[in-house]
Amino acid sequence: MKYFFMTAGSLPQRDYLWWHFIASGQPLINADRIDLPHIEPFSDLNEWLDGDPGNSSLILGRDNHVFLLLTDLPTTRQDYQRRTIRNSVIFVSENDADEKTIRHLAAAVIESIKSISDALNQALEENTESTATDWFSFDQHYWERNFLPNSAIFAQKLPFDNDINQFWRKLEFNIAGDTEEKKQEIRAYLLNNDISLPEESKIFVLVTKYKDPKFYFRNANKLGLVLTSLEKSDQWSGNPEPEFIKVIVHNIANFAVKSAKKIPKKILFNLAITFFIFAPFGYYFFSNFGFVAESQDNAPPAHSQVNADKKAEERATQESESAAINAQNNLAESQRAPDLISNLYQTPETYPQKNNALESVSTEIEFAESTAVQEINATAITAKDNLNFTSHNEIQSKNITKLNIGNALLVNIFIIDNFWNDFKRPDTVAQIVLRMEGKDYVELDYLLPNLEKGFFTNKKPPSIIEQITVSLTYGFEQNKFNGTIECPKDCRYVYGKVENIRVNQSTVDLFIKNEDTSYR
Amino acid sequence: MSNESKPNTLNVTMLGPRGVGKTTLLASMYNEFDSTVMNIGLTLTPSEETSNILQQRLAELKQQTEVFSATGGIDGTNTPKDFVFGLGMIGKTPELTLNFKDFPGGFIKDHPKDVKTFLDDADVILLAIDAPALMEAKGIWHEKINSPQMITDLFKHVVQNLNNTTKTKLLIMVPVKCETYIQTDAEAKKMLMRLKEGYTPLLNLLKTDHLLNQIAVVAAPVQTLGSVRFTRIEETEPGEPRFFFRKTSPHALYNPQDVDQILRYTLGFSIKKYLDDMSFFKRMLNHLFKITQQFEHAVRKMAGSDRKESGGFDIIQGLTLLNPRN
Repeated sequence: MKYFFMTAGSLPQRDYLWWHFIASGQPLINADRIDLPHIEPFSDLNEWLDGDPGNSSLILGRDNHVFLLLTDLPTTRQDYQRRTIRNSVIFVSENDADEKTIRHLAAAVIESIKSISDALNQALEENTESTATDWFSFDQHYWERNFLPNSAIFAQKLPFDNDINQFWRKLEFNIAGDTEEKKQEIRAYLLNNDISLPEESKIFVLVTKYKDPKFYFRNANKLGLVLTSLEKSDQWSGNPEPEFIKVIVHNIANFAVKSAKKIPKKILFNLAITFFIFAPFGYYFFSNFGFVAESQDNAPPAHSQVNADKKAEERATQESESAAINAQNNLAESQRAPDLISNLYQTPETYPQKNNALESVSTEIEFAESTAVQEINATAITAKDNLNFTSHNEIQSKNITKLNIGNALLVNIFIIDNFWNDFKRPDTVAQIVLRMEGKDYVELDYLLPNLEKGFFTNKKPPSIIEQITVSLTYGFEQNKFNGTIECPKDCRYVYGKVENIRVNQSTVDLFIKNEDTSYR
Repeated sequence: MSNESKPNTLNVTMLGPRGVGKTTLLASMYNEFDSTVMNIGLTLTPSEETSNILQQRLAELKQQTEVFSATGGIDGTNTPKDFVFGLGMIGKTPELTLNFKDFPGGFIKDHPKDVKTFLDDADVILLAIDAPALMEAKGIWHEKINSPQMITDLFKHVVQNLNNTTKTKLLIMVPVKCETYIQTDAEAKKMLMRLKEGYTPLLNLLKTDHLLNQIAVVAAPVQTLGSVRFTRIEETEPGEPRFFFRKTSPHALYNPQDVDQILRYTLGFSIKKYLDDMSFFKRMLNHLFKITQQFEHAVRKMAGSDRKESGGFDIIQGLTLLNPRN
């Protein structure tokens, strides 16, 4: 099988390009456009899609060989502007076995894009050295070992009507809204190896989000099944309703409504009753004389009931599993919380004594004359410890404290308030900014673990919520600073100030008091 | 309007290297369109595709202001894309189609032929400029991030082909991420001066005598977020910068500034061009029966009023191309 990848790098000069995988152990090489499959009249497959990087799209088709294009699969890599890098991939078959694999891949992706996205994220690697000439590589062994076999496992064969009809065999142009039902129908078709893919060069299946259906109607001769969210109908349709028809229907409907309003209500009621009594008989009559049967043959098989039952069962299983996990977590939390606090009580000097400074809001902390500075001066910090200060003497200087660029500092964060109680999300990221007067400052980003519930209250002493290693990228020369602590949108804003700072042998303790009461 | 486009279509192309803010600028403009035009009876109607995609980008942009430390930007563009809007009077068929083309910044280096085609077809070129790269560290990152020399080289091709393509063009140089640099008039003037210094070869190319009446050049700094400031640059490895931004305060809201100016300049240029390019016969008909009079009047009003020419804004050349005839 041939592989082509579109990806970007972390460095400014490494924008999105197509790359060709040649062989294991070799870097990817820049692909020429003519090497990539395309479907006329467009030279680039992306022109068939919505071009929205926020949503993945899919094209299964045949150029000279069967191919599968998947676009905008998110990765964990970021570019130099800290934007998520997205991979796109084209698999091109070279034999019948590849074609079967590609069909299975397409079916698996229609079910869930996450697995392939994660697998490619692992397998497609970047050499981030700026001088490197081999920017990207593809770990084919990882891909084949960890993903390809699995694609057959989760791309389970779904039951398919043995009455293979023209709809699936010829795969003529039909478009529908991007619904689960339609996706399952396509999956069933792809997994049914009794139906070969058409031999002509065209697109067999296309799934995208925000592309105008009119575009696909204009190019219908090169298309099979298309799913797009901008198509309003959730049923397959191969013919666009002409605009003038829509106008006529609209006008007739308006006329009918206006006319109905003029008819006496009693007569309308009688008409309605008559209709509902005789409609079933009419349907029975016409269906048994073949007027309706033909359209049923053309309809693709419906698997919605099978899938609905399956999904209900999966949902019930998930709910019971998550209930069990929650119960376990609650038990673990209640057992853990006392341990955190009891550890602190063992050594009284590990937390500050309550004093007026903690109760009041101070905007600045002056090192030069405060008790904190005396503690700093009294404490020996050696360059050989956890810290990489270049000069021991600088740390001991009375007027704090020029730290050179690149020094690392171990910082304990103490929170003197209970504002974390509301947070339920475990992956909360908080940021501390120590902003100095002027432009120099230190910015700390760290991940707070397990902010589930019940952290601290005012009555309990503050405890360490996190230890982090801070890389100080700018020195600060002033003897005053104030700090802020904030959280991103997931955990609401908390605005706090560093009330106190204590430098220990190899760590720094920051005591932060919450000042934002707006969430309470 | 452009030779290669449909009648009454104004082609606007974004230009700039990777990550400078082209798509961000487009999403910001989309957000401001309605408020800019509505009070004079105009409406800008996006196609359904355009509306859906730009809504997504706009939501991502606004998310920048929901975290204190703003991430670098919205999803990077990896394929060229057209965004189509109809401009007309409210309740009537659009008179003008605005076609915005966005493409990956890496195309400048990797697919220059495509970029030259985009520029040839464009009536208006929006050159996005990364303001921190221009202003910080004495501009040492300007060449790397903004690639002014590559832009100049592209314009050499544009001016060569000008008479065979659109005949006149508007270049709007748009410093983005410039919240830090235009808080006062003095700072804005400094940034404008720095911009002209940073693009001296380009500006010299465009102010050749015969081009002065064919290419208008405007400097238009915009604040696409308004509440976010640049804070620092770190080098992930020597010579490889990474830019950091954060909000001005925890409660600062999404507050873009001056984004509407792009549209004012664009429409001022386009209405004049629309009238100038009109055939004699159509112009007579228009004059006699006042077919598009209301629309023209509304666009002139929008383009003329509230158009900024100070505080960082500057019409560098081509004033006559920007003032609609009365």
